[in-house]
Amino acid sequence: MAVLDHDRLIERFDPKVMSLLQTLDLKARYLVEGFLDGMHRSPFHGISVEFSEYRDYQPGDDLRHLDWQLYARSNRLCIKKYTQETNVRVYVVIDTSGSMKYRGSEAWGSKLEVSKTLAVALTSMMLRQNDAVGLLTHQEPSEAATFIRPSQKQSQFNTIIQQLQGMSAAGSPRLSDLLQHMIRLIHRRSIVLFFSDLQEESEGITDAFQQLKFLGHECMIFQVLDRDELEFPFSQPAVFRDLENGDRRMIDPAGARTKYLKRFEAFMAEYRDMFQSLEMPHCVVRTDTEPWEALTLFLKERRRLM
Amino acid sequence: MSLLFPIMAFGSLLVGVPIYLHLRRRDEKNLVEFPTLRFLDDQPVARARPMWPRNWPLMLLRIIGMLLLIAAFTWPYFNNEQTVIVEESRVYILDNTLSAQTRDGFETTRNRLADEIESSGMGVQIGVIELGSTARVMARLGDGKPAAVLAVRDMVPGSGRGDFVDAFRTAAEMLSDSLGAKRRIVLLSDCQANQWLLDANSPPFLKDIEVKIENAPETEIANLALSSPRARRLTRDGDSWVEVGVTVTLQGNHGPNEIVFRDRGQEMDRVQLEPASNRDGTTPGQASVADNAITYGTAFAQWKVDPTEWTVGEIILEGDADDLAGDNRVVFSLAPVRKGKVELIADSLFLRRALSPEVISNRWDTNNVVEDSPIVRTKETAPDVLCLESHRLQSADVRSVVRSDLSAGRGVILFVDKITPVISGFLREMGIEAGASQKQPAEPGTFRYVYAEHPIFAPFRTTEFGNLAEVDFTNYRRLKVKDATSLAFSAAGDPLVFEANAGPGRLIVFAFSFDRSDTNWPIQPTFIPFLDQALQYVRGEATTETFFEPGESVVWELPSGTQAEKLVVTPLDPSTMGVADGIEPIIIEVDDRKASFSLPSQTGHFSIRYDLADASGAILDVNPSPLESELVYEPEPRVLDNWGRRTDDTANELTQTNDAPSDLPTAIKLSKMEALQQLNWWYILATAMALLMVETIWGVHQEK
Repeated sequence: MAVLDHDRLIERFDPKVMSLLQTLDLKARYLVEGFLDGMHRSPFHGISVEFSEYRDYQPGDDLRHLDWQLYARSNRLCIKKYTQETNVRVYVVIDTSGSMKYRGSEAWGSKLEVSKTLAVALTSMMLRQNDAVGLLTHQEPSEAATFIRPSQKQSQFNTIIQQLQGMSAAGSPRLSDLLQHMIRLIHRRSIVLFFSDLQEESEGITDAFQQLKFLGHECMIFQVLDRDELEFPFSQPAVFRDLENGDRRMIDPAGARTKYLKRFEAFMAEYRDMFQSLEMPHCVVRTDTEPWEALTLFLKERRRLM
Repeated sequence: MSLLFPIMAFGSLLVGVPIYLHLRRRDEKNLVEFPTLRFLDDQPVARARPMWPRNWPLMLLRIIGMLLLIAAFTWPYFNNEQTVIVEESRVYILDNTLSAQTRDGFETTRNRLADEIESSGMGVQIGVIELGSTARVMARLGDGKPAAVLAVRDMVPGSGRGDFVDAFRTAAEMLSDSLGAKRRIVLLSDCQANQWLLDANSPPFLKDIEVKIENAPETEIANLALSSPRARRLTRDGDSWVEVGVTVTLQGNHGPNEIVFRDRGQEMDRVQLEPASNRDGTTPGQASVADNAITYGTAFAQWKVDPTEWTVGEIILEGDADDLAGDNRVVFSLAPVRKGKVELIADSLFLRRALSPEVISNRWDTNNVVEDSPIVRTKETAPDVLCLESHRLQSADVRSVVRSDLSAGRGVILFVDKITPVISGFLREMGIEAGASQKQPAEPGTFRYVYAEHPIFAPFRTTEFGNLAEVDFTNYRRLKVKDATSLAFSAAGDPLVFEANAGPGRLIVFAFSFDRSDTNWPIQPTFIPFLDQALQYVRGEATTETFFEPGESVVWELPSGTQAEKLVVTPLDPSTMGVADGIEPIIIEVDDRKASFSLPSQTGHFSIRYDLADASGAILDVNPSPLESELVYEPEPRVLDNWGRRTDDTANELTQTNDAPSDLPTAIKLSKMEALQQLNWWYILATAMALLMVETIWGVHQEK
């Protein structure tokens, strides 16, 4: 079982280094290796394999795999053999609406970049466990959704990376559309990883998540938010323009902050409640901090679902 | 101007550039793009005027600057209301060489050309080239007709000589940048045959250019001409004389004439020329002159002169006027004699006699050094030239003196009459290898090859100073060149005269002695003049040529001992030896002891003064080229076909010169090069740049 050492993990993450890394591949590798290195040695492989048979011990075999109970019972040295599982299907769904373009001054990437990095990191981890990984997203100006069927081949990693690298955030909210595509396209019970800032009215998407739940899919929601959205740290009056609809407002942050934070908290509470009622894991990922919590949540949920 | 010009449309689009840049820079600085603005929808809506200029003066500056730039680059396409289509570009070549003055032909042609330009139509672009000693552009194609007429009327007859190919090349170059549909060269010339000869095989350069030749030459020409004046000093009975000769040539018939010789404006001699009809079977230029009984050929005169003064004279043809007056006067000059000192260490009786006071006293003071007498060198007694025979080099003192004289810049003439190991070693030191034995030709030999351009041989190119070919050699020493220049060779190919590079002083080496056992030269008439010439040369006298033709380029080298920063060239009045009127002085900077300049196109004497000194440092004799007196014409030269002129039938039909102004509204009139040459263009461009610079500085300041 994996045991997280949070202090060690924090040491392993530097937002500046992250922002300097150019490609998704490098970012994901930096993330995954830092994450794995931050765990105590544990039978990580055990979560995706199951016992199949015994064989006689041979010099050179790993002593950890010796069945000591059998030895105690029969005075016979035997090694446990395991069979890897292959029946988990995971879909990565990434929201590319205009609001995902935002990158605050403290962030190591825009919300979309953070989502993509996490998605690639998780993809890498899942493919190591022989899980089948697919992708669903939507890219302007195309009307149709981009869909990559799940596969457990190692080449899938490059396919997904290529798709994610060319992806950019633009346009109006489209999380509802993505969810509808999801419902239509996924028929087998699967794990669905959502990366979105959820900047849409919750009424519109509650039904969609309920449908997914009804269809038996296990959904994990990674809500990617920037520090500026969470804390509204602005101080100077300025013209604010909405990234999705272009609305312009003259804002004096000193006077508007309290109200904003109150409304934002209400918005977050609404989603929190909704996911709680649907029993869907919900993780807020900040673009200015380390994303270990998201990865831990994934591993925990993955183990639970097995 | 029309907006239909592509460049104008493009320019108009450019006006939008500064506006766009300005408005782009107008982007709000305090704009925050934010994803969760919906939580602030109760905040006031910001006034959306992003495209409103932030700084009007800045933007206006930028627009004005850009408009001026457009104006500058469209300037070639602007014109006044009378702008017309250029139908023809025409370049006139006006021949202003001496021969073109035949029967006042130049003035007639010049006036006719001015009238023709004035009356030419608006659709004809006209340029004018004057062909003197060089081709000179008097009016460019874009200068306009008034300027061209003015330039033509200001032309004065010249006496130079130039070749047509230069003028045609210049005209073709002008036409290559012209705008006329037709391109044409009109040659206004007497078409002297010898002007076509140079560069007859030039590659074609008159592509698509029509050539029209006007001014059919006269056929019945009578011309008596003087050319090639030369003067030399003579010593007769202890007095200094000058002998002046001139070549007389005749074309056609002439009446009674006289040749007048003048020295400083004073008539010195007068020679009658018989009418051509009185002389049967005489070929001009080939007859001889004897005792002033003149026939056509060469005329001589002699008179007594003061050798310490300049001899500045002229030779004039008087009598019946002929068709070309410009070649009836030639000028000459002789520099004053600067008496020199020569030290003679030789046993040759001929040398001693030749350098004795009786023979050459007015030019040289001779010091004979007898054998075994000591040679003393002080600043006062040092000679200009040391003359010695090689057998005296056996003495170490003599060898030392020769070396020191050469090191001190003094001249040495060495006659090799004997070769010993010591002498061989000394000659080797001087860059000459001595052979083992002396050579004795089977029969008397003569000079075969002579470096005729060298100053000591140059006067003997004509036979008037005697004939070097009559000199026989019965004996000479075999010398080889090691580090020296051979100046003359025997018939057998052995070098006889050398100039060695042994030091600052000049060293001339003869492979023989002036004794009858070696040569008969001492009894030849060339002996004394040659000896004098050699002594003058090794002394370091200036050898720069002083005979020139009008308009010729001169590279003047300062004589040794002269220092000057500037050279002033002025016309000289021989009567007063002062500055003559009419031509502005030419002032030239001296660089590395040399000055380059071009002479005016007039003939006569020109004085060279160093740093505005009163006295003349040198006098140049500028006379017309004898070729200009050869009035033989070639009105339809085939060389034009070699040059690639258009040969279609229309080539000889000039465009009507009284074309009415075109009604077409717009046209390109100026070429780009011509537009670039206009001051207005530069003013506009400079203003535009200045405005843009101010705008940039202002903009940067505003940004800060």
